[in-house]
Amino acid sequence: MTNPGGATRSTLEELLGDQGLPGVVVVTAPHCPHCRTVAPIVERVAAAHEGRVQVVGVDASHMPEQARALKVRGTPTLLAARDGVVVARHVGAGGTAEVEGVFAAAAGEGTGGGVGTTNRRLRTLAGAAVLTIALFADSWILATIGVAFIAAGWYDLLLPKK
Amino acid sequence: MKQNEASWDRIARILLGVILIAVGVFAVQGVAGVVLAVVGLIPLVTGAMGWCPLYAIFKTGTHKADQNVAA
Repeated sequence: MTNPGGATRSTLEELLGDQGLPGVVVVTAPHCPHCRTVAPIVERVAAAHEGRVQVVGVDASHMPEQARALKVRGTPTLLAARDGVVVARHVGAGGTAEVEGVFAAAAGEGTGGGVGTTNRRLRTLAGAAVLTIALFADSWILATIGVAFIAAGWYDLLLPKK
Repeated sequence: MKQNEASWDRIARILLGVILIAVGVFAVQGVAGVVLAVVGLIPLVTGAMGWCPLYAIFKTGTHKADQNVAA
């Protein structure tokens, strides 16, 4: 009788070691086109989380037991792990938002009120656009809405750190 | 509130919202312009939040991430 939860925990400890850092396990396969697409995104997001989240790559074709223990059903799979437990996963093709979501979950920012880079950029963009219109239209209502959008992208900086 | 829109969807909504507001304020003007601007706020808000209530009601969406699945 196997213990899947125990297998996952021991595999994560084997892969991520005992450095105390949360980690992201990136499971790929050699002939997987989406793995090649997601690789540069993972690199970029990993660089932004350097020192806070460690990243480990697993080639499913060379390490099938580990992939099975981690319940990988397709590649690429990104697993966010904290304290030996998978706290988030993303399977298949994904963009920056999806990869950032996994890294944020590993860093403990998943649902803790963190806005995230994509949200911050899009809300700031929307707010700036509305503010520009407000400026030319001389409308304080639109200006207020624009400021509200920008605030929605940055409010988390005012929240106390966990 | 889990996001249900992909990045391209959000950018498209924000662009549509900005265009509708700009057309309402600068081109149409008057009551019809205000109505158009308010209508433009809908895609702008849903795009900025990354969450569409219609997607939520119909349990669909463009955001395909399979996140927060505990193993």
